[in-house]
Amino acid sequence: MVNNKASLYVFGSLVVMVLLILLLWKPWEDEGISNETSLQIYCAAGMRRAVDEVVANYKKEYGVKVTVDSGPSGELLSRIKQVKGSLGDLYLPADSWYVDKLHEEGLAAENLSVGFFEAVMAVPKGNPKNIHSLNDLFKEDVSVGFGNPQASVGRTAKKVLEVKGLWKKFEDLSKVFPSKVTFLGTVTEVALHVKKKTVDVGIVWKATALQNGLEVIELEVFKKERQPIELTLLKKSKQSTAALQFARYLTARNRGVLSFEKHHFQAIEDGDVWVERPVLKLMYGSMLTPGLRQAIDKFKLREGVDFDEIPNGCGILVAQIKNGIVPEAYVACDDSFMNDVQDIFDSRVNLTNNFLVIVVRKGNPWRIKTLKDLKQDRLRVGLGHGINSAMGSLTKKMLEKYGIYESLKQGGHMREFDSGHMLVNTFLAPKAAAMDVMIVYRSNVMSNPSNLEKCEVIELNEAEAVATQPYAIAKKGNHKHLMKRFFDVVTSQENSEIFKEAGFVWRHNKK
Amino acid sequence: MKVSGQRTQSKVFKVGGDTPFYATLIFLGMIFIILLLGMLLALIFSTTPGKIWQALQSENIQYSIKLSLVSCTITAILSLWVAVPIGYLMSRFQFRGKNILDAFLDIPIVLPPLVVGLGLLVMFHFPLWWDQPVMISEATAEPWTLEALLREKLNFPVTFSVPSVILAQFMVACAFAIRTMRNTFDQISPRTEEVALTLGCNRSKAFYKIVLPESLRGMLTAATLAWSRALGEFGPILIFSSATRMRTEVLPTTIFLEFSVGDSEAAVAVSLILVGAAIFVLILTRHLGNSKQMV
Repeated sequence: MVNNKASLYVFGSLVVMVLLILLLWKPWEDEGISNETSLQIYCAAGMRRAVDEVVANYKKEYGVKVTVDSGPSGELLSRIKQVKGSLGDLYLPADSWYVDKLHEEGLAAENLSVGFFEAVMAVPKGNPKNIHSLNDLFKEDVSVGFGNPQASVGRTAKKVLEVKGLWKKFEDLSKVFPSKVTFLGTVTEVALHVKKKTVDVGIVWKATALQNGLEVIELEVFKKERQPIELTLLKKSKQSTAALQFARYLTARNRGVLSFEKHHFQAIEDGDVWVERPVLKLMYGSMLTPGLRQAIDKFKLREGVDFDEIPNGCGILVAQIKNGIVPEAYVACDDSFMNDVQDIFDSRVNLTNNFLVIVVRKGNPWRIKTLKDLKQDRLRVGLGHGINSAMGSLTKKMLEKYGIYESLKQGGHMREFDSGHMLVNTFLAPKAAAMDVMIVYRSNVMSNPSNLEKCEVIELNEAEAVATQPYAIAKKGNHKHLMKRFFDVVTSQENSEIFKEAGFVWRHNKK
Repeated sequence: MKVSGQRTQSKVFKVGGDTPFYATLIFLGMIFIILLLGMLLALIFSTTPGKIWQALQSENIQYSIKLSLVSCTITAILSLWVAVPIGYLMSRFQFRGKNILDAFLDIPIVLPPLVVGLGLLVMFHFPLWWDQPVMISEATAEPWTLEALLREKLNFPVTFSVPSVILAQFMVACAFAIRTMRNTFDQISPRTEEVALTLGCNRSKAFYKIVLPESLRGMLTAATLAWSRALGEFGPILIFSSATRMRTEVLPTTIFLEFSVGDSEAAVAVSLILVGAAIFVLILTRHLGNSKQMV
């Protein structure tokens, strides 16, 4: 009988274990390890409530499951570093310092702004010690709690008080009267101590204070030192497009940001408008096509967005913008075509320079070396249109300086084209040797290397021969953050090489 | 502890002069008991039945209770399956380096729990081959690791999923079970076993017929110990399994997370649920153990 009992234990335990494993694994539900999209976000504990809400809404709207993995920001960072970023998709720490750290490790890709942390003085309900200013912290009967000054809210408090020259005073006080100034750990602990009234006032994030039901005293000095909250995509995410889409949802002003505001976080002011697959209206001078082509395709694929591209002569683009067709972003052929519409856009950033050159047929039969050589009888010249095209107006200005434009016009052997590529195509057309020489941008010829088999390029040393191409995002755009990320793709090292190959000179320097 | 103390006291009470001695013993013992009781009472009175009920309603907490109880039970059984052979071998056989092995087996007991988690995490993500990375997608390649091997070849991801919870619990709980089983076998005289051998049993038969039935009570103790260690396990799980809602969140993680979002009330409510579950199981196994002895 004893024997039976022993075998009962041996086999019974095995059966129980197998049953329990089946209960956890649930192979019959066929969900856990299925191929359906499921994203993972590492989220600082303090923001979990807001993120949980966003995740629930996202699931309701699109059926995509997002698991939230929360803990202290630093601990999450260590975990991501340990698995070398091979698990999970997004990281939302409570301090953008951790995002920078992740970038240093080479594990982060795109950053998205979510909002801000703003420090406040938090007191128990009713403000029993009547605290209203930083000076009140020194009152004899007031005890103060700070977070760890090396991180997060403690660091911000230290920074502000150092500016005001008060930090040293607190440090000295804490040595003499340990009960007067206490250094606690995290922001949650400080809030908890205020709540339990072990300290009279604590410097904490506004969101933490309000979530804990504390009264908040806002100060201008803290507003200036607000800390950005950033969401970052892990470089090794296996589903970056899906992850970016959720990240856009979380940072959208009419979606995720609402949940963050509800939980008392300060939201970004210019958050993108949520559209599942936005169509981004992008205007650019035709000359920029070779430099932008790949960036546009790459961005479409990565972010899951579409472009409504409007490449055209910049004179025409400016007219369209002035008439109310406002793109999300505009890349002009030259600075001068931005000036007229600058008030519609945020400040511009110069991407590239392009130079006007003289192009002659192989062997240079007319022996042209400088602009002055264009004043030859019966020389047929092709130029950009003086008004419709940016290049044309630049050319016209340059030629007028030497009085060449007028004489060319009178000579009747000059033709004008609305855009550079039309001019180049006509010039190079196999049979129509209708022109002997043309003035175009270097990129117009160089973007197709085989062109150089048929013609020669003569550089010009004229100040007027330089055009600068700026990038600007519309002030009232609905997708300003997306356009900022597109800018990052356009100005990436890889893409700048493409511009250079196409004959542009790269201007933009990343910090 | 309290019960046996009182029993001895009543027996010896007739003998004069010993009262101060026992009073001192009881006084010192009471310090601990009062602290423990005070702690529990403070927890109980800082929450309300409504709060606990509210916590029990939450889908997340239901999941973490379920995961806690189930994973602890699996861990306890697994620990026993490993602890019985090791305990038996260590108890019955002498070999060179036995002392070193003995100390080695105690490492998980001595190590800070966080180190166990870190160790597991590092082990599962240690690059195994340098030259042939595994292609995860067209864009990402990673070196072969134990984790990648299990995930890609067997479709069995460990890190940050349920198996990692059980493994993290097992690493610590098993060490306790081994120690208990070894003591159990030490206390069972090898004589009966040797007699069985002379009567025609081989080693396995003797083990199965004599040693195992005699050690049932020890096994129950070991399992209980492993179970309760696993229930309280927190550090290694946070590191190796993370705290993902509805996936790897166990009760201690829930407490930690509720606390870190500033909801100390919910943290207390969940703590009490944990204490309740632990007391229930401990009493149940004590009861089972006692009735077994009577049979």
